[in-house]
Amino acid sequence: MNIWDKLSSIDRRWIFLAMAIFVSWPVLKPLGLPVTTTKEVESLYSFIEEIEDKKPIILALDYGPSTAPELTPMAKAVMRHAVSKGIPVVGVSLAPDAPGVANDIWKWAEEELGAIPGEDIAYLGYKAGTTNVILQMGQGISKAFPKDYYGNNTDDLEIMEGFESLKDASLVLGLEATAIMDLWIQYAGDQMGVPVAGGMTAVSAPEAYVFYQSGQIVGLMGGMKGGAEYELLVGAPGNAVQGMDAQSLGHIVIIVFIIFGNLGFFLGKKGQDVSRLKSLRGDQK
Amino acid sequence: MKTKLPVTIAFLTGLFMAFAYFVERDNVAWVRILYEELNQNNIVLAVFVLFLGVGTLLIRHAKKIRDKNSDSIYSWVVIVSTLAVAYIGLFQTTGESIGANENFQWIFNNFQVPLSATMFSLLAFFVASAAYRAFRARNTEATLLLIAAAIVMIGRVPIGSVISDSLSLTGSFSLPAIAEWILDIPNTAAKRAITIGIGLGMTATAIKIIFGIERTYMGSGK
Amino acid sequence: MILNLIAPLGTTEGLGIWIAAFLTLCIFSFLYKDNPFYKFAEHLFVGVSSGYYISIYYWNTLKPNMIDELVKGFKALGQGNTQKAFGLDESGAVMAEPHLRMLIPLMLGIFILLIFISRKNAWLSRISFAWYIGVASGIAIPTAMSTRVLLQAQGSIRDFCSYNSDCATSAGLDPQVATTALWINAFLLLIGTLSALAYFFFSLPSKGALKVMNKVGIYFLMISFGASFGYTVMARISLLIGRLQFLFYEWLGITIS
Repeated sequence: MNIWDKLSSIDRRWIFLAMAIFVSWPVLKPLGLPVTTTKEVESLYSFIEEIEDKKPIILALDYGPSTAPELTPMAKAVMRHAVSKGIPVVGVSLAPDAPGVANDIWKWAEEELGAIPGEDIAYLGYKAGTTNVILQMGQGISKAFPKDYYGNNTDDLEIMEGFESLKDASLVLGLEATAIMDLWIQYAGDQMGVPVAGGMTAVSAPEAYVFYQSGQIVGLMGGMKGGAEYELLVGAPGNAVQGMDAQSLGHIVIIVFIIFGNLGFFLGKKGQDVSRLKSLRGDQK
Repeated sequence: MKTKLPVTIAFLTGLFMAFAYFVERDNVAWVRILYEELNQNNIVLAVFVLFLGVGTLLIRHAKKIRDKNSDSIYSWVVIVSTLAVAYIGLFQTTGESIGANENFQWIFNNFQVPLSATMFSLLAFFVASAAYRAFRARNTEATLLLIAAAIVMIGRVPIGSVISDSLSLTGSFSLPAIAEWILDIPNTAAKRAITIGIGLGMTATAIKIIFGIERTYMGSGK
Repeated sequence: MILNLIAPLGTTEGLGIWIAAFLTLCIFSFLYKDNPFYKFAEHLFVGVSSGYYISIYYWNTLKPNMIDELVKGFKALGQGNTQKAFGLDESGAVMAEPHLRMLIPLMLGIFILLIFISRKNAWLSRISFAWYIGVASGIAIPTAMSTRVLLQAQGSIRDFCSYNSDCATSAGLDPQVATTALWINAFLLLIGTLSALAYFFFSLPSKGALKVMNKVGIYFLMISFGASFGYTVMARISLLIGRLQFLFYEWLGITIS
């Protein structure tokens, strides 16, 4: 076995170890790499910046703990922006493991941003039924959510004054770990005419570009990087900005291993066997 | 009866919901109320579907325990933890709100969060291992995939700008700009074709369900 | 980097952090090999999630949207007000509050659960699924076509319109001054969409122009899958970073200076 063959047969536990070391290192000792912003995130920021009539933003927290590192920084940065501009934020969830995450974000907003529950912010909790919930919110918010997550009658909350239906929202920002984003676009956006924006896990972000390009969503944040960009735009770098160095090194580790694999494949015995086989097949033709 | 009744119900409810879309519901009270009621029914029905799922899970694990399966200790873990968390959530909630149940939130933060988040973070390791093993520039298609993946991986994180600067790649030729272009143009074009395909498929399936051609939701039994 | 005290075990919060850290390490242990700690954590995950879902579904949906309505309905029935009990006002018109009309979803829900109780009557669950899926299909028809097909088709030629001030004004788009590069991009977007669509077109044999289109289509698709892979890597590493931040900052008490 020559060196090239060895390169293509590294035990996966060495790859795991390399990944663990190179991702941990910047978490412990940040490198301070510069984060730049992209137009998709900037356009969401500008949209919220230009909301003037203080109509509420619907913050749809449709994700659970498994994707929280990507999406919670977005939720916090957008809430910071909205609260600083006096725009009310009403949270809802169409994913069942979201309330636990949202509850912590709402407590954070109370303590860190000084937002008053029921006046500046409200969290209505989880509702089963996805599409039907969105449509019912279009008929009346309290028809889908008679009570908020904390047991108050939704209609009694000060924040709900003049905010009867989903159609009265200034923006629906879906923070999504699943395909629920498409439903917000389809029903809240295209059917009811409410502006919609997306904060997506990186896995689903590439699919959302089609809706951004067609103008069906007003902005798009993708993955932890999207959250980091919004944190920078609101001038409050947090966990996402902090994670960007580790993100960079993690990607480099993967690319290096892909290069190793390809070098081993093309220069090692196995790869040469394959190319010999290919040339033999070519001769036969 | 066992087939005709469900097919008729799907036909009537489906047709009504499609019809209600085209009606000014605010002006036609009966359409508005029926529309809201059907929405509300589905919201509630989704809960029973979850109960069906959890019930099936518990029965499956109870059977494993009954059969003295070698891993039945883990089935105990599933059953006991389900019942314990459900007990705390259902019976330790005072008043009208689970939002005020601090024990429930504590369980969520210290059990659900680490278990769920770590389970998915394992994929960081496996995606690295899989990429190392499977990503080979064997032909043009695979090479395109590989190059696009590498550029997006580097161009979308801060190190992309640093590498570009050190190689004096600026403007449209910097790695972040190329990554952005890949996402905006070829990615959008291909994903759009897929989205259009999904749209056509969804519409066709919905029509087939309403007209009783697609009946797989009824299961295989008679 | 400063190492503070590791999370204290004595407080409820500290105990929680220790439990979370232990469970995190149990799952990470799978990276070495499958083992009882991982299996325990894996099954605990399933159990805790199920218990959590039951509670959330009950308190956030079942109770406010059904049980509370039924209670109001039965109260009205107890007071002898049958009309109100079934959500009718004094003139007999249907009110928005359904009250006892929520017995319908309750009945449909019980039909679903009959699968557990009576094999003979389990077929009734088909009624509930037909109801659920019929409603979902009816909702999807009008808008799936416009959101995913028509507006997407429009999106593929949107840029051409934006680059022409008359067209942009009449379509309500922001007029843009196009450079050659932007025109090329607009053409590539259109060609890419059409060729990728052609790749999924199986009604004609792949010959001649269609074969060329298919080839171009698959190149676009491959670049797009590459972009998706790149982003998937990003997602997975973000989740790992999240767990490491927890272990280092919250459990081990490391603060970054």
